[in-house]
Parts: sequence; structure tokens; C-alpha cells
Amino acid sequence: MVLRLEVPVSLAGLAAAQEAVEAWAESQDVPPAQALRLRLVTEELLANLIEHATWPAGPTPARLEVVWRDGVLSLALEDAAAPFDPRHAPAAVPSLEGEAVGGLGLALVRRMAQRLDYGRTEAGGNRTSLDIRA
Amino acid sequence: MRFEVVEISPAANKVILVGRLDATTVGQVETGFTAAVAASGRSAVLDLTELAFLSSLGIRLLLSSARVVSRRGGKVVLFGAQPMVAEVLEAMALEEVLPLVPTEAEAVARLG
Repeated sequence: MVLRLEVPVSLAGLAAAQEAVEAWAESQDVPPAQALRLRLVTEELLANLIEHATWPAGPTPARLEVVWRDGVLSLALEDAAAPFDPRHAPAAVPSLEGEAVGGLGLALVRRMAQRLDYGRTEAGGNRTSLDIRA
Repeated sequence: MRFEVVEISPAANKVILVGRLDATTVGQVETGFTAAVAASGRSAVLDLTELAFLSSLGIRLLLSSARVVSRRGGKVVLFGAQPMVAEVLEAMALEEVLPLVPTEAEAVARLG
């Protein structure tokens, strides 16, 4: 019911994490639509770290925990990057004229999540947790 | 991830996307896709029936290509999205920028 992963903050780490969460979700009989949302949220959160995070003490692997219990699919990500609260990041407004392309990933995370919490870890890092929409 | 380009008229191509368009695959197709869609000088309908997964990095590639086509007076219309892909497109409110319709015939009709 619980998957725990150490994820190097790199494209290779992201790819491995996606495969791992997908295989785990299938083994847990998570409904396919929810499993795809899990894969998406995993990608968006990790891609955000790869692209935008700054690391006060140098990059260290993130910790991903996914739980499937009583029909609720929850995800928590802990990292040692500089403080970043995904609940308050600006959302993107895509248009044909604009050049701005950032913010799409977090907007997607918010749309795929039923609950989105943010706090600090004891070590001073970020902890983002959410329930994937059923 | 791969794509195929089919000429459907002198003014429009059909581009068939197959596989997953996400952070780990977008680099494989970015250059070729941009050349096929943005640099073609034509409008495009994008066939999503075989696209299994789409993330924000994939959307960025579709958006940047659509912007170039739009600046040249053309259009990009999507069709045949699987439920996950449709959900992502709808969640991002992309209707104005990357319209999504059910069938190829409707997509071609939207090119005008």
C-alpha cells in the first residue's frame, strides 16, 4: 500500500520515478485514470524541481511517498531545495500571443489534486503532499 | 514517442502523435515536430488518438508550434484525444489556443 522512492533530481531520476509509480499503481489495482494522474503529478512536481529549484546545500535526491488506502491515493514529496510553496505559485494563462510558458505544470498539479498541503520538514526542506483526484 | 506527417491539402498537414509526450520524451521529437508543424507554413490537424500521455512540457511544445502557425495566419486543431489527454487539455483551458474536437472531419472543418 506504500511506495517509497529516493529520486535523484534529474531527467533520468524523473523517468525512473514515473515507471516506478506506474508499475506500483498497477500492482495495487489503482484505477487507470487515477494512475495516469499520479504519473502526471509525479512528473510535474519533479520537473519543477529540475527546472526551477535552488539548492542551499547542493542538490540531493527528493523523497517520494505514495499511499493507496481506502480508495484514496496520496502523494508526498520531500526535498531539500529552497522554500517553495506550490499553493501560491502564479498560474499560467496560455494564449497564442503570449510567450510565457511557465506555471503550466503547477496549474496541472492543482487541477489533479483534491487536497494540496505544504509545509517544512524538520531538516528545513519542503514537504508537498496531496490527494490525487478520484 | 514518435510522429508522422501526412499532407491532407496544399494548405494543411495532419500530424499523428504516437506514444507519450512528456518531460522524458519531448527532447526526442522537439526539433522534428517544430520543423514539421511550425516551419511548414501550413495549418495542421494533430491526431491524438494514439497519444497515451501528455504533460505540461508536451503542452509547451504544442503551444509554441501553434503560436508560430498562428502568426503566419494558420491554425492548429487537435482531435481524437484519449480521456487522460483530454482531461489535461481541458484542465489547462486551452480551447482558445489549441482547440480540441472529436473527429478528424471536425478538425479539418475548423481550419476553415
